[in-house]
Formats: sequence, structure tokens, C-alpha cells
Amino acid sequence: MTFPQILAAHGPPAGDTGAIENFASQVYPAILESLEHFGPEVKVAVAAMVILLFDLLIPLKYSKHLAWAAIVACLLPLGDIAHHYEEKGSLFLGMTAMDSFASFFKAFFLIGSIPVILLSYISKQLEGRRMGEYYFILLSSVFGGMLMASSTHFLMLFLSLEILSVCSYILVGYVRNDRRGAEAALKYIIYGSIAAAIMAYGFSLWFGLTGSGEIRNLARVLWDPAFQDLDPDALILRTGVTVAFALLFIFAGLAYKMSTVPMHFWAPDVYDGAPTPVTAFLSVISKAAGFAISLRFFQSLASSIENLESGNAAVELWNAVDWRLILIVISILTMTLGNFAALWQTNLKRLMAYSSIAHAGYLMMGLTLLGTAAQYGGKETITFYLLAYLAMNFGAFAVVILIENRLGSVDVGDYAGIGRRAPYLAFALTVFLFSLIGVPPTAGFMGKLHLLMGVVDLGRILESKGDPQAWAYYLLALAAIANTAVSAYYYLKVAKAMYFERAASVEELRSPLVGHAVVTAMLVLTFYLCFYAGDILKTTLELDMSV
Amino acid sequence: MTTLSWCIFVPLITAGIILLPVWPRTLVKAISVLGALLTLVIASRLTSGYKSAPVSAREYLADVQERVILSSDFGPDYRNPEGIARWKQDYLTPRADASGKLGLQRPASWNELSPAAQDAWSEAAELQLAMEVKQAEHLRYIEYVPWIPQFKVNYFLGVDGLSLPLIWLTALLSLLCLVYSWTIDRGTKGYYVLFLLLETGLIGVFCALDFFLFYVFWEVVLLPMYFLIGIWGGENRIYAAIKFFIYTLVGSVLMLVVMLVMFFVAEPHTFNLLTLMNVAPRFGEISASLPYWLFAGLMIGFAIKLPVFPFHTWLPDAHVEAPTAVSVILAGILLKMGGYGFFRFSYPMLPEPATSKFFIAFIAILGMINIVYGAFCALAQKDFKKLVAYSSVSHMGYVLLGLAAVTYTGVAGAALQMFNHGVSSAMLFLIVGVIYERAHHRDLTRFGGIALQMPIYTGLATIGFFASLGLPGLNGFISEVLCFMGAFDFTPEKGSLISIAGPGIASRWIVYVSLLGIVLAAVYILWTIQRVYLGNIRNEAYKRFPDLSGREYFALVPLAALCILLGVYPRILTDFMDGSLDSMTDMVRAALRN
Repeated sequence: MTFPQILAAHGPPAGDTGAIENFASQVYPAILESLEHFGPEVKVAVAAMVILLFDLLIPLKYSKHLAWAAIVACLLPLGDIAHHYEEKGSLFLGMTAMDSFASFFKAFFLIGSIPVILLSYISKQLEGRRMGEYYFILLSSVFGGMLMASSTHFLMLFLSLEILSVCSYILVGYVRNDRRGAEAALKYIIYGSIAAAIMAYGFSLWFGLTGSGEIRNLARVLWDPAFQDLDPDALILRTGVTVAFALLFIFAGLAYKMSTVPMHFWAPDVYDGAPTPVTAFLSVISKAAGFAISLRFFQSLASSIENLESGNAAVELWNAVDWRLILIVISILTMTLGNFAALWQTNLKRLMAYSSIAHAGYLMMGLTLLGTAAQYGGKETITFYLLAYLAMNFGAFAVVILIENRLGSVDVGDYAGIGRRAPYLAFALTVFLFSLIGVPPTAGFMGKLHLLMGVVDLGRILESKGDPQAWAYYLLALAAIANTAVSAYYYLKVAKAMYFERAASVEELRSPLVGHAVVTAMLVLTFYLCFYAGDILKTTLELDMSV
Repeated sequence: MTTLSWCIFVPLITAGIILLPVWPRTLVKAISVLGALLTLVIASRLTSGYKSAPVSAREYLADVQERVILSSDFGPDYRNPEGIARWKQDYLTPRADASGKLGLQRPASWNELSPAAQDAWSEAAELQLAMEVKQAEHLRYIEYVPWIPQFKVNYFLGVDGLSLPLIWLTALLSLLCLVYSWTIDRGTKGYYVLFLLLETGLIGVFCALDFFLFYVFWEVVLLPMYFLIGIWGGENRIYAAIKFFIYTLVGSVLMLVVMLVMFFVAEPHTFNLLTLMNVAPRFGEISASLPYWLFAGLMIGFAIKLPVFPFHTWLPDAHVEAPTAVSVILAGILLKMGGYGFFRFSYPMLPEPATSKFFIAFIAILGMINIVYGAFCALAQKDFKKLVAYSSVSHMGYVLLGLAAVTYTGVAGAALQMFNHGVSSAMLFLIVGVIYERAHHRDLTRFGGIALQMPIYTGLATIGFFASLGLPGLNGFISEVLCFMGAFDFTPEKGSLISIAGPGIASRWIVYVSLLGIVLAAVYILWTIQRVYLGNIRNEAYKRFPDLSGREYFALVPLAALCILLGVYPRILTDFMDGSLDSMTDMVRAALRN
């Protein structure tokens, strides 16, 4: 018998306040119904557990081949996702949403984990260990990411963020005997926990303001009808401060995941100390998850502001809180800091860390476009740029890992003469570096162009309306292009070392086929996203956020 | 095969072929040379067929527009050939009032149209505006393929009298350089691949009629140059390479922002150059200062390439450190990209700022500074290659002078100077390369008496030097004279904007000071000839220098022949360029009447 049937047969227990009744009649059926659409996540979770258990049964030397099982686990839910792509709705009583935006990002995380798995398979840093645990945690973090992409409630946002974060902490410190890894993991745990705690506090403030945990009610900060009788100006004054703080606190948590200023301090140390495949994972998947969640959050904020009934006191409040301007300032600071700090780096992993901070700054340009009249909005520009970023970052890290396997070093000075020793890898890395700078004909150029188009367009529209904020957008565009020029210096440092400097030895560097396969795939994707941009743009334009 | 796309991509295909690991080194070089030869053949056929090519841009775009209208869903009564005219009447109404929207007015039923119909209208409107431009009559060999519909970017190619000679020169110089580089034995395959990639980018720049495509090709030129200078260059090559790259990148990204602003201000949003030529002159009605900012932004981007003082500091380093063949292509073609940008983009699209007193004065004075300052710097040099580099800076100043005048003669002189400078400065760098290979230094104070040992080389070198100096009978004279005549023309109303009052700035002293450049050029060139070729042989080792080898003949003789031919009978070139340049000048001067 099912639980509702039992309840119907025997009645509620004594002392019940109606909660069990409520659970049986509303919550339980809703959960069951939502589970039907929860297939992809369930598949990933079950597959992860199977891999973990299976690792107990097989000898150590076969453990690394669990990578293939992990790849199957990533590919398995894709059919389900494609099947449910067009559906829209809310699951788990408003905790998560089901829409094409969420499905796109779920597919993004799943397919994006495949290069990570392949790179972990060939990386010497992870050799000789039991990998079942590793793939279990990796798949769990993908699970967390999938939840993040679809969460529409503060609790779910926090929960999914924490799943991804905790799994990342463990992955960073996976190589137990490595002091740098342990230090990186510790820094990451402390930093991440503080950021999550601040964000939770922000959530609690926001809950108090709106009376609801769902992000579609974000703008209704003066919900209590009892407030409507009080003096509106004083009320707005007092609430405005709380709203600003709550927004800042929540943004702190999001910024930590996106690695933007002011919560970027963890990135260089963590990227440096983690095993390089994990660094690749953090720089792409984790960041993409952060941006997915931020996109949904800020888009909901913008939509809910628009949907406020006129006459609601909150409308005046939101006219005063200029969150887009704050995002513009943070974007400029982030890209500038990331680029200028990277100029001095000689450690390639730290250089990529600062470069990823800078790219988070570029991506934030898309966040400033949300809810405006711009022709190219935040959603399509950020998703396209994330695709391009996946191609170029995974490609660059793949080459770094392959060379690290042979040379044991990620210092730029040790890359001298790689142009002769590993010509294909050097060529591929050069293409990825140019893509990171943003020079055509690469994906990075298309992505940056897309973002710049959105920003310039919005600047034009605002200027023609006489809105003084137009200058902020023009400044943002100019900052982006200035930073592009500055970034050329440190990316080219690597190319310079590889081609312009003579190496001590000229012996050829051979790498496994799997590694070459990953590099080639990313190379193809880089060029595809430039020349066939139209196809991808169509998909990203049609992504739909149901909240 | 005789199309622009083949001309652009044959070098790239050749580069792809030689990348295969099967060829020995000699075959790599041979295949590359064959590829460059094929490109030159295609370019020559395009050039000879230009005047008689049947389809101009106007007709081609009309065809495309017809197809767009026929395939769109505006209703069954438009889907036949007679319906086309009716559709244009119904939907493409010119803007009647200054409502802030430029070009063509959106139809009244805009909101009821499906997105596909709206896109079709935008494209038809864009093509209509493109067809109406006078320059469209002169463009031939058109290719138009939609590339990224979401960004309204098309693969739009076309050439006219201005770009075709430059394409031909690119093909010629690439062939000569690839043959000259036969002795590169370190990383030969990479060198040739990069050079061919460079050629693709260069030819693409001159063909592109879509601003976005132009930008892509412009940037594609940067990458091979960085590696060519940085790997095969001289001692200070790493510094020179990164300086070149970042300097040019800054200019390029500034151009990118201008491109995006123009895209969004134009209505319909477009990257199509011809449409922008129609629409952009009226940007001043939206915001008085907008065209000036755009012109300034584009100017900085092109000025870095030209190079214009004070953005010229990358040039001496890049030229000196680059290997000879790379210097040749750098001086011969890359600098012309900057000039071409002024001719094709800044002036026709933004004629109001171009003919404003401020910018006329600014550009003319910068041209003057280029000429005189460049010449003085050349005079002070002890390094032979650096002297030639500064003489390049000086000679490109004439282009600015001719442009700023905005008269038929001046513009013709400036365009001719671009071509002639490409020939003569290419020769000069080859000359330096020849002597550097033998003496292994470029120090002018240590040379002397080379004429005694290498007479044929000296003869060709003298032709190159005198062409650069502007000796009558050689090509440099014609273009310099035309530039000065154009700049000096004080016919009222129609004269040079530098020299006449009213619309112009009446500052003839700019021209007078620039004339100094001719004297200075004579000084440093004659002095150089004396130091290097005349006098006694100072060093015993020089007595054993062999005269020119086969590949050096191959590289120098065609250029010398061109110098003489264009000096004696420049009409082969000027007749070719006249139509397109005159129509461009008319377009720019039309802004003066408003």
C-alpha cells in the first residue's frame, strides 16, 4: 500500500497538526511526480555510487579504467535530457525548474566532464591511486552542478552549491601526500565555507524581506500588507539598506563560485595546488555552474522587478537600487585585476587561474545585460561564451597536462623549445592562447564579440534615451578591449617560450593518443564555434528560463 | 578559378598541402612558390579582366535582393518577378523625416511580420541601400554568401580600381619573397606556412566588403607576423615581435568598437560596407559628435598601421629585426593596409569629419610631420635597415598629404604612392638584405666601394634608391608630384582642402614644409649611396663578395622593371584606378555642400 493509502486507512496519528496530512496529500505526490522528470540526476547519482562500489571489487591496477565507466555515466542521461528538452515546469514544489536553460546546462556539465575524465585518466599526478572514489566525487559534483542549473529556491541554491563545493574541496586535496594540494584544499574549504555562510545569511535576510524562498518572488521585498500603512519613504529607506546588504551577501556567494572580485582570492592558490585535471574542472565546469546560477538569479530579479504591480512600494525601492551598475563596476575590476596580476606569473597554472578570473570579468558583462532592451541579452552571450571558454580552457589544460606528464613542470620557462619537441601540442596551445586573447578566427573572438555587441548596443539604446548610465556601458566596452590588448602579453609569453627560445634538449615529447584526441576535439570545437557560430547561436538564443 | 575566393584561399590551401609530413625541404619550398605563382596568375587575370568584367556590385546585389524578396513570405502577390518592383514600392520607403532612424523606414506592419519576414526586410533594405551607392558601380568580382545570420555578417567580397592593384602587388611581392627566402634552412616548413597564411590574410583584407570580414582578415595578418618576426628575426626579435603585436592589437580592438557602434547605429543593423557608406554619412543627424568620435577611433586604428607619427615607433623595431623577406612584405603591403583603411572605410563612410577643418588640419599636419620627421630620423641612422624603415615612414606621409587634400589629383597621388612605395621600399629592403647576407652587418659607416665589386647589384640598387627619392623617370616621382599637386591646388571651391579657404584650412605652409621632405630624401638617399656604393673599398673582405645570385635577380629585377615602367608610363595604373578613386572623392566632397 502507498503512504497515502495507509493514511487513509488508519487516519492521522494523535497530536498531528495537519503536517502529515499535508505531506501525504501535497508533498508526497508532488515528489513522486517530480521524480519522473528527475531521471538524469538520478542516473548520474546511481552510476556514481555503482562506480564507487565497483572499485572495491577490482584490483588497483585496473582502477584507473573506471574512467570509461564514468564517461558512460556522463553519456547515459543525455537521452533523457534531449527527451525532456522542450518541457517547461516547476519540480519539487518550486525547488527546481525544468526548462531548456536547465537542460542545456545539464548537458553542458555532462559533456564537459568527459574531457576532465579523460585528462584524469592520463594524468601522472593521479596515477597509481584508487580512482573509484575520484570518479564518484567528480560525478557527484556534476550532480550538484545539474541541480544548480535548475534551482529556483534559496534552499536548493544553497544545497546544490554546497554539493558542488564540498566535492570540489575533496577533489582539490585528492592527492593526499601532496603538501601543496593539502594547503590548497584547506584554503578552499575555509574560503568556500565562509562564502557559503555569508550567502546563507543573505538568503535569510531575503527570506525575511520577501516572505518566500522562491527566486521568482525576489522583487517583492515589502510583501507584508502590514507595511503598506507605514510611511513609504521611511520604509523604503530602511528596507533599501537591508536589500542592498542582502544582495551583496548573496552576490558574495555567487562571486565566490564565479571567481570574480571580491571573492577571487582562493583561485590562484587552489588552481595551483590542485591536480591539473581538477584545475581544469574548476576553471570550466565549476565556473559555468556559478554563472548558470547567477544568470537564473539575476534574470529572476529582473523579471520579478518588471512583474511588480504598480502601486507596490517595492517599485520605488528597486528604482533606487542600481544593481546593474554595481555589476558593471565589479566586472571592470575583475577583468582588470585578473589581467594585470597574470602579467607577472611564471607558473602556468597560476597564470590560468588569473586568466580565468579575467574571463569571469568578461562573462559578467553578460550579467549586466539582463532584463534590458539590448538585442543580445545576458543569457545567449554568457552561454555562448561559456561554450567557447570550455573549448579553449580544456584545450589549454589538456596540453599543459600532457607536457606536465613528460616534463613534470608547469613553469613557463620549462616550455622553452616545446615548438620543436611537440609541434602539434605547441600549435594547439598557440591556437588556444590566441582564442583566450580573443583574436579571430577563433571561438574566443566570437564569444567576446558577442558580449561586446550586447554591451555596445545597450550603450547606444541608453544614450539615445538620454540615460546617463550609457557611459557606464561604454566604459565597460572600452575596459574589455583594453584588457584584451593587455592580456595578449602574458598569453604570448607562453607562445614565445615555446617557439622563440631554444630548449636544452630536442628530444621528441610523445603523448598518449587519448590526450591528442582531447586536444584535437577542443581544437575542432574552437574553430567550429567561429565559422559555424550561426548554428550555436540559434540554440543559445532559444534557451528559455521558465522562472 | 578566376574568382576572389580562389585568390584568397590558394595560399591557404598551399599551406595546408605543405603541412603534410611527406615532403622533403626542397619540395616544400617548390610547392609554396608554385602556390604563390598560381595566386599571382589569378590576380593578374582578375586585373586584366576588371574593366571588361560584366557584373558590378549594383547588379549582383540586385539579384541577391530579388532572391531574398522572392523567397520571403510577404504574400503570394509578391512572389513573381513583377511583384518585386511592387514590393519595393510598398515596403522600401525612404525615410521622409528626421525621426532619428536612418536609411529606410520600417514598414507600418512591422510588428505583425514574422521574424523571418523581418529578417528578409532587413536584408532587402540593406541591399537596397548598398546598391544606391555610387561606388557600387566600380566594384567587380562580387561574392555574397550569408555567414552568420544572427550577427548579420556576410561573406561579401569585391574589388575595384583601388584594391585590385594592391592585391596584385601582394601576390607579386609574396612570390618574390618566397623565392628570396629559399635559403632559410631553419624551420623551413613553418616559415613557408606562416608566410602563405599571411598572404591569405593580406589578400582577404583588400577584398572584404563586409566590415566584420575585413576585421577578421585584418587580425589574421597579426598572427603569422608575430611568429615570423619572433622566430626568424634578428637579435632583438622577441621585443620587436611583442611590440608589433600589442601595438597593432590595440588599434584593431579600437576599430572593433567603432565597427560595433556603427553596426548598432545604422538602421537596418548592418556590417555591409556599401550600406554603411550610404547610411553613415547621416550619423551626424543622430548625434553631432558621434561621427567625429568614430572617425577618431578608426583613425587611430589605421594610423598605427600606416604608420603615422606618433604611433610609428613599432615600425623601426619590427622592420630591423624581421628577416628580409618579412620586412619586404611588411613595408610593401602591411603598411598599405592602413592607407587602404583610410581610403575604403574612414573617408567614404564618415565624410563629414573627414572634410572638417579639424581633421583636415590634423591629418595634413601629421602627414607633414611624417614626411619631415621621418626623413630627419632616416638621416641620423647608422643602421642601413633602420634608415630604410624611417624612409618608409617618411614616404607614407605623402599618402596622408594627398588624402587630406581630397581632390582628384591628391587622392590619385596618394593611392599611386601606396602602390609605388610598395614597389620601391620592397626593393630597398631586398637591397639591404643582399648586402647583409654578404657582410653580416648593416653598419653604414663600415661600407664603401661596393659598386666596384658588385656592379649589377649597384645598378639595380640605384634604380630602387632613385625611385624612392622621386627622380623623374621613375615611379616615385609621379606619385609624389601628384600628391603635391593635389595638396597645393588652390582652385577656389574645387581645390585642395589644405590650401583653399572656406571649406578648407588655407594652410599652404603645411605643403611648403612637406616639400622639404623631397630635399631631405635626396640628402639621405644620396648620402647612403655614397657611403655604401661609392668610394674605395674599405674592407678587404668585401672584395670577395659575389654579385647577385639567381634568386636575388628574380626578386630585384621585376621590381626594378616596375619602377621604370610606372615612371615612364604611369597611365597603366592611373587609368585603372581613376574611376573608383574619383567616385570616392566625389562621395567625400559631397559632404562639403551640406
